[in-house]
Amino acid sequence: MIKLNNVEKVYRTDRVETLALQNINLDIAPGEFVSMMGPSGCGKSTLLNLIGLLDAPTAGELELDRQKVRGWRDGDLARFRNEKLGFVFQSFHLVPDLKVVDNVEIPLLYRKGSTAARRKAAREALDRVGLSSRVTHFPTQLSGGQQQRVAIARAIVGKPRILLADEPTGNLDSAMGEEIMDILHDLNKKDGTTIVMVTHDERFARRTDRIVRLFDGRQVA
Amino acid sequence: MTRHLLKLVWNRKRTNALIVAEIFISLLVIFAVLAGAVNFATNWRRPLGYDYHDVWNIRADLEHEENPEKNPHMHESMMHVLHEAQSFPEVVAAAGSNTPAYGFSTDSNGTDMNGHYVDLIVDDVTDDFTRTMQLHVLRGRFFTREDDAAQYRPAVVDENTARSLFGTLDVVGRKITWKDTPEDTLRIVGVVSGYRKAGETSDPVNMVFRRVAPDHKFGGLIRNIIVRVRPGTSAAFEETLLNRLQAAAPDMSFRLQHMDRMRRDALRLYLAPVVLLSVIALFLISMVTLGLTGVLWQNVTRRTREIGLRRATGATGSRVHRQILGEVLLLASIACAIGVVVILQLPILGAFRVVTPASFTTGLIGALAAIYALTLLCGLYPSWLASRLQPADALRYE
Ligand SMILES: Nc1ncnc2c1ncn2[C@@H]1O[C@H](COP(=O)(O)OP(=O)(O)OP(=O)(O)O)[C@@H](O)[C@H]1O
Ligand SMILES: [Mg+2]
Repeated sequence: MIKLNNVEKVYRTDRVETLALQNINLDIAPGEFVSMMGPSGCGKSTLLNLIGLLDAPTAGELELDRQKVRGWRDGDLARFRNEKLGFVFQSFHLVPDLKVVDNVEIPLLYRKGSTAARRKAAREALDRVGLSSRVTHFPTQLSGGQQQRVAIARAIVGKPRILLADEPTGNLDSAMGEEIMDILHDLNKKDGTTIVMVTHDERFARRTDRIVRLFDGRQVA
Repeated sequence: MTRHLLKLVWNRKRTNALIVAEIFISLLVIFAVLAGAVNFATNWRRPLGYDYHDVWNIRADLEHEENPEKNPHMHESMMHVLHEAQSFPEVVAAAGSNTPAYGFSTDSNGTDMNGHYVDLIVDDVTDDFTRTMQLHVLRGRFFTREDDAAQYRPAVVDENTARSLFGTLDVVGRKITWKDTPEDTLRIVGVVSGYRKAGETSDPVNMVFRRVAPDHKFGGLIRNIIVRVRPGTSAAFEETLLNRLQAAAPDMSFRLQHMDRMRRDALRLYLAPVVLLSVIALFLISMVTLGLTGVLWQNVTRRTREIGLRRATGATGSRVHRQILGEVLLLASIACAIGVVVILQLPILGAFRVVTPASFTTGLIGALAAIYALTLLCGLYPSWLASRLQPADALRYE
């Protein structure tokens, strides 16, 4: 499902060159739940961004859903992200000026479909994360755990094959973290969604199929 | 997507109200400037109805004036002076006029016609006025000695008056009566083309000339002698002329002005505040343009993470670009809708006394176009910035 071949990422600014990732080889099967661990600054988010097509590698090959990502234009990348990928972030990234349901609908705005169909899909996704009673709230009226559940609903509303989660429980206490993990496992089991999750929590990592460990831009396990 | 934009704009009403207010005020200012400019330009190109070149205006005052209107001596003296002026070979034509073109006094009057009030501007003139000012007689004739036997006071109207009072009917032979003084009834003997007494900056007005007969039969006052001189007449002739007039009427004082000079003074007086207001308006609009760009830019910066999120969920760069522009245009449309409603109330407050309905409409349409162009311009850079953001960078933005 996700294949990385000798992937390298260098950040170049005016003076500094940071080798954020080097020689990364990964093969993640469809339906696999992989967690990624490592100390701060080792390149976990960078790697996740490369897989999520939010950033381009400086070298190496990337294959997603059996398609080689090479020479894709903005439109191709956007369509792939829209149809095949879902993102969950540590800081939720909800739009504060939009109600919960409108937040969840966002990915569907970038594909064809009626207003009614969008609304229905958003409600179903919210139902899935147990938030059907908070549809018309604004994000600031929700707890952190609830906000992250809204973000998950948004990530899954377009039924993506791959879910990328960057420290989804990082801003939550452990009880709320557990809830989020239960939802992710449920998605993985029931829908067969391939999940790559960055986490600092060994307990959560141990519940996944595989742990990829990074250290200083290199894959150590 | 439109609904989504509407929701976004509505939920951000506090920030957006400010932007809408700015655009709204700009619309009003641009409208005022444009309507004024269009009005000015149309008036400038409109025929004047007379020729001010080589025309001298001689203002006459009685030395110990009490009530010249009631003073038969004034009329006699003026007719005498006029006669003297006409006798010079340098003088092509001369006539008396009470309130001549480019002068600062105007005799406004009005009459009820079929139930609606018509504003009229009146001047009392002598027979040679049409030759002196070179009016264009369209129908009938100007005043002649033929009018000495008239039963009603003879009048010549311009085409605007003819239309305002009688529509498309032939007006020669018709009468104009005044509401307050029915005994002063006028009988129209001719129509001249539109005469704009106040000059090129004036809207078309309804002009009525009343005859001042040599024998003062129907009264009327002339305070100015208008003289058309041969082209190229030297300035030295001014003195010769004035000396002769002074000798003819020793108890009067005379002041001679070239009409093109009077025109220049009148223009200056008109343009000074206009230029000042335009500069202020221009300054205001550039401030608003800068302010708007700033606000929209800040809006984009504040929403960098939202933009990153949209990119991550499948929006292309150009899609983001269009969304930001769409929001700006939506705000512009709201401001324009309010602006149009407000501006359409202005005629009730007498806007048509300042500009013609045509200039008003052109000004409004132009202002709307300008506002859209302006907001588009202000939104272009911020939205371009937004579309250029790399998704990963945008999401990391603090
Ligand atoms: N846009 C960028 N420009 C320059 N350097 C960057 C950029 N993004 C990341 N880096 C650098 O790349 C390295 C890896 O960063 P990354 O964010 O992937 O780490 P991380 O493993 O996610 O850390 P954390 O656990 O703190 O989130 C770091 O040294 C970081 O400073
Ligand atoms: Mg990170």
